[in-house]
Amino acid sequence: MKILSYNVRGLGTFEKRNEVRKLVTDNKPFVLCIQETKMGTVDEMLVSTLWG
Amino acid sequence: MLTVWDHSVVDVWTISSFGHVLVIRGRVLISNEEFIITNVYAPCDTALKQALWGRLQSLAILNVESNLCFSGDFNSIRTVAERKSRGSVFRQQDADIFNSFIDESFLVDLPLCGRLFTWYRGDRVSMSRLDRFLLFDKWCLTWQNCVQIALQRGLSDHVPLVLRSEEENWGPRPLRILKCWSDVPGYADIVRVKWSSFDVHGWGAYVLKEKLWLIKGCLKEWHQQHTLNMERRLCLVKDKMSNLDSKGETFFLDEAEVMEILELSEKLHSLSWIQASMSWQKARQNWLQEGDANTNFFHGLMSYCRRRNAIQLIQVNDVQVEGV
Repeated sequence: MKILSYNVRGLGTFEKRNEVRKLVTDNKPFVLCIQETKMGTVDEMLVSTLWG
Repeated sequence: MLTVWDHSVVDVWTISSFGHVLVIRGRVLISNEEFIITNVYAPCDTALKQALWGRLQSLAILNVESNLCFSGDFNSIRTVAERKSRGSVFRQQDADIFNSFIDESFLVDLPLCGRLFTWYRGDRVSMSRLDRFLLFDKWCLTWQNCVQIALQRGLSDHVPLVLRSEEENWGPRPLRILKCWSDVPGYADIVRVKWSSFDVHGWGAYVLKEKLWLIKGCLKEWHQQHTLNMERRLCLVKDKMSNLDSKGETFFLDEAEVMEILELSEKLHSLSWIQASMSWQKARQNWLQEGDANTNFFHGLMSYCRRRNAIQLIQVNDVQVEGV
């Protein structure tokens, strides 16, 4: 079991998404919990940029 | 807030959310273990936090038997040591309500590895441990050796945290024997016969290993027939004896019955001896035996000891060495 938790302080910018993606590829968590996305809606597109 | 999971590893069937919380329920595909993971982003206001702890606590009470984990930014610290700043901004009341939530929900707060704090203000002076994982006891039993690691800080002023459990591989289990077995008639014969009956080919060490493994199975079976539950065996003998004794008090016993009493008394002595020998040998693992009736408690105790004794980080001449 592996969980990654991150208060990202806004997921709007490309750099932040890239950082999260790097965290996911490096750590390969089962579940990823992000706080403070500062985004009204999250769509499939965004998730796929995070997880691929 | 956002919770994402890997479809190839976990299966999630329920998603729910209420103020500041995102809950997912699912299972790990390989091991089939079910879980509830709660993503928490707590507000700053003390009253709002108190309300949130109340909601989380009722979630905890409703799911006592689950593998439950709270993860996220709790915007709270537990002790003065979890914050460093120029002035003194530690709010005891805030810490008290957070601590009582953790205690009353029976949550395990793992030590943080890699760093002391999880949030660093831009002024380089203020830092606190705002993020954490809070786990149910049950979680720690299902996924043993859980560690909570703070990773490198990146663009955010918070640090990403990883909770992971690693299965420790202690190698094959050793063959253990009880000393008292040799006191039971027939033990030596069965070992000799079984040992020579195994047909294993290969190089010497392999043959030995395989034979030890095979004899382990035979001994287990033999133990069940001969030396398992000594207490009950002793009771049976004692019952028979007292039946004959009480019969002897009113009637005369015939020769066969007298012989039986003698045999029973001899058996009682040898069984008592075996039981004593067994207890002596098992004394060190007595708590394990006792634990059968209260396994959860003893497993909890054990994982607590293991956590406490584990060395996560060593500092050698100002250099920190992790993963030792």
